[in-house]
Amino acid sequence: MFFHVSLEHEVLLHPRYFGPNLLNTVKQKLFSELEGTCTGKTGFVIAVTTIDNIGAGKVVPGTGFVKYPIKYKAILFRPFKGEVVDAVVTQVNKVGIFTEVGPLSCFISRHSIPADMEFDPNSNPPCYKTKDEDIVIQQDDEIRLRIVGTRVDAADIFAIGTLMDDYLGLIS
Amino acid sequence: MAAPLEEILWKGQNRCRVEKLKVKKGSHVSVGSLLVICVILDRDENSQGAQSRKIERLKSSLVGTVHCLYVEEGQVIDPGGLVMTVSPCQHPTVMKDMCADCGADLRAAQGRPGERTQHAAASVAMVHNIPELHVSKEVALELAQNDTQSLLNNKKLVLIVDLDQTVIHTTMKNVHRGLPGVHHFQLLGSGQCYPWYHTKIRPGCKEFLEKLSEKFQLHIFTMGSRPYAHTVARILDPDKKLFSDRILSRDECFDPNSKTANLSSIFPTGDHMVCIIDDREDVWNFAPNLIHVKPYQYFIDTDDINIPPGLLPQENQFSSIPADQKRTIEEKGLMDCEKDESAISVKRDSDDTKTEENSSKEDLLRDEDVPSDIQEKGQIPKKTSENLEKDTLVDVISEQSLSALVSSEVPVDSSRAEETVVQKEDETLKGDDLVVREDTVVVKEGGEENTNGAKDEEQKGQGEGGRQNQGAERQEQEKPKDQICAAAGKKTDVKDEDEELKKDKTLLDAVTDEKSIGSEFFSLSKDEDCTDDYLMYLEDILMRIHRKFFKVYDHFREKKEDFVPDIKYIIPSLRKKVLSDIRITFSAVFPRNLPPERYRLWNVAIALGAEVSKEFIPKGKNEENKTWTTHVIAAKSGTSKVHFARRSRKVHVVTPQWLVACWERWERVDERLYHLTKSASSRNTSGSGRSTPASENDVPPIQKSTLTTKKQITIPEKGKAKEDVNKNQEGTHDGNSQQLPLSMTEDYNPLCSFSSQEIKDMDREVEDIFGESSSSNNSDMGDDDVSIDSPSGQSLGSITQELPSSSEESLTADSPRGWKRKRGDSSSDSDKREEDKEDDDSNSLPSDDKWTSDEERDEMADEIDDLLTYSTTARSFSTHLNMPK
Repeated sequence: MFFHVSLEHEVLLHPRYFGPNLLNTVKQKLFSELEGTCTGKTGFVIAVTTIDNIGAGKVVPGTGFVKYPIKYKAILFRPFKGEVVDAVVTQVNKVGIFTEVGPLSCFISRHSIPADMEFDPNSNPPCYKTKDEDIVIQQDDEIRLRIVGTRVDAADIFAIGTLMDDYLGLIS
Repeated sequence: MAAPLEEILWKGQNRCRVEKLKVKKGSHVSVGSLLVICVILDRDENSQGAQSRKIERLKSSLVGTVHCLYVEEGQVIDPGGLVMTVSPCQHPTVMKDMCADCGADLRAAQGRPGERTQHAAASVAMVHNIPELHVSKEVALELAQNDTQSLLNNKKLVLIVDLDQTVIHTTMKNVHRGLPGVHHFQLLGSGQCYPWYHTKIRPGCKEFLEKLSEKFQLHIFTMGSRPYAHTVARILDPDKKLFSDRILSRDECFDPNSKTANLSSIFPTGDHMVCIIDDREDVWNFAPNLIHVKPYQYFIDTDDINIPPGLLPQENQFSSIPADQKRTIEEKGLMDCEKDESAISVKRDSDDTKTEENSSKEDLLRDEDVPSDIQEKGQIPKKTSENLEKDTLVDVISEQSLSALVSSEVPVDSSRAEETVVQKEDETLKGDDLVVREDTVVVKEGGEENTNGAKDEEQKGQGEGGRQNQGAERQEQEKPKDQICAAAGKKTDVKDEDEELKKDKTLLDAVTDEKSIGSEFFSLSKDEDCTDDYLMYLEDILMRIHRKFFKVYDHFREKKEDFVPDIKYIIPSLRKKVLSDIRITFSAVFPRNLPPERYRLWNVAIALGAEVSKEFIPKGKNEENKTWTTHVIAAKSGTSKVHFARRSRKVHVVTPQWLVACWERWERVDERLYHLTKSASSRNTSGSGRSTPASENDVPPIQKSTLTTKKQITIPEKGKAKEDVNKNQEGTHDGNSQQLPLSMTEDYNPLCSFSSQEIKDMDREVEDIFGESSSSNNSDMGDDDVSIDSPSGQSLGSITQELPSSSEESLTADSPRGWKRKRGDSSSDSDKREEDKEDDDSNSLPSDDKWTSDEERDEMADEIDDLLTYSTTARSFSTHLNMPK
């Protein structure tokens, strides 16, 4: 699920950036520090949309760095259990299918793939397909899946998905 | 396993009738999957009829398998009635400690990966490159059986391919960018510095893999890191057609020193259809389904870069004795009595070679400048680094031109090949092959060289032949390097390259000791590369295995028996047929004081199906006798077994390389290629493995010669003292020439190299036969030692000052006094020994007039020096002092 929320972040700036472009540097640093990262709490930061307020910088004693508290708004992607998402297949093997939902990797076990789809190791690339080869899921295909569990680590999220429901599977 | 069963009850207010059961006993259910379609029965069922029928779908609230059904279709269920029991999810597939079926988090709160709150059945990491993904044993077995069945249906086997030194060779040292067929890449990862990797694919590899992929399912098992393995796989197989994702790297290895552990998890049904090709046997724990591959080495000087840390590089595979054993031998002090003997026999062999082959002056010169070149590169740190860089660069370029020459000009190639053969025949001094060949090309290129050579002579003022020639060669290379570039079809800007080199240089600034300079741009075994056709043999072997396997399989299938043959029996049985009708005895190959069963060659012979006996069994008159020895494998001639064998006509006397070649190719290689000759024997004792004439040249690493140089440096005092004493006497020596034999014994041969210790042990066999003559030889030995050691001192001292004087002396035809005396002594001595021998080939042995020059003696002496440990230097020195002046 995507969120647009207000968040806070502190940027530490090296003294060598002190000068006319100071605030620009702070903004750049905020973008580069946040976009594309992931925290377990908020999920993946897709993009920083607005910077609401850059607070007064304070020199950190002993180092000379300046610390700016910044309030900003960002688009976040946080996967939840039960959510239905679209994903791209990255790898197909006999145990299941690996997919990517943007920055999120998601694994679909063989048991969570409809029983009428069977793994075919001899095709290139390997795929899951129905007997009549009506539906073939192979690498780089887009599929719709439901997230059944998430593993939230400090800096990464991993999801388990399933195709066992109505309207899930290959998007054609 | 016995988790409590979950009951599924009908929770509606009213009774219902089961319209349709959507699951069966044992079927898998997950959250939300449909179990039963029910029709709710109103109380006033009869009055409203079918219109008020309400359909309710009973869905599963948990994940698991249906254990037992308590209702049937059409049955009416009361509210709260039991519908079915479901055994909850056993978590058969677990990804990152999360069940991939039910999504349950199995990891303890704040726990580390692998710490699970509850037991999960999943324990087998079945997918090559995703170690986090586990499946339960049952699932693994099921999947693997499917795999096996599909393999059998497609008439395929599994082939596990090792990367390093089997199908590719990679170095991390700087390599010239323009080399054909070498891929360069960096692996981005953690850390600031990304080193460059340079990978050469073994000739014919792509065709090999493509052909095999029709008959085998290919897997990669490598000790390289995951990014490395995948990058190399991408090079080998850009379309992912061959390997797909079946790549297992060090990151997924359970055991850092072994690949065997992973086998059982990747192939849970067993490895009865798995065939392995690898250049190392130890990482597979000498598995019977392993085909030992001849290691591929393209970049001299670089071993397998991904050797497991716990294992040694494989050098003495074919003579591996336990290290402690070796030490005990040394402690016994056997060396002293053997040294002289071994040295002398080797010397004699080398003499034989020289005189027999009637080597031309050119050959001599070539032999001479080999070491000097090595030394130039490796030993003289006085040269400015820039110069050195240039030289090495030129070397590389000229090498390219060499390959271009080879490929473009067929006549040159053939003549070169001939010459190579000749070289092999007569070359007792084998230094850097590459350099030697370069010389031959230089010689062929002709006229230009002479003028340059003259110039060079003027400039450097060196009269000594070898150095002159060598200098000429270098000059020659430097001058027309643009032409050479053009010839090689490379429009490379030399200046640019120089700059690039300098950049590299600054990177490597910290490590510019002489060794690193020597190996900064090291040579490649190009010639070997052109002729490395091993993969063809390997393909043949694998196809044979495939045929045999499915022949057996089809045979049993015709009989309607469900039997899958085991490749672990097929491979040894096929291998056993290779030399099945051959009876072998070894001579001078193993030391006598150790059981030969411990040696690799012995076991190899048995594995190939040959009968091995310790004694030579003559054929005799009785034709019924089927145990007579057909092959004598001898490291050198002159042993009693060899004599016996030579006398009886039908017995082949071959070098150990013959056996190695048979082992590598799985066929009875033509014995004529490996007949033990005098020259061959001397080669073998030096431990080099020139096995096939044209194809299997192992080029000695330059770096090793620099290492040996260091060895000398460790005894500077003695060397210097001797230098002082001998300077006047030993005029013939160029300080460089003695470099050569050192590199010769250190010659790289992965299969059949002998330590000096073992060579001595072999020589004991000779000693047993010619015991008496040994004592008279001792004095000679001393002299020889002196002659060897003195130049070592020279080379350590200021070379530039010493060399002119020594070379002047060499130009005067007079040989020093000490030499003359020795010459007479040793030749008469060898004559005497010949008489003792009563050998029919004594006529080929050296007599006095066959000595062509003193340089030969020097080389010989070098060879001896090589074989001896340096503990003798003190002794030889004292011998020298007693010598009459």
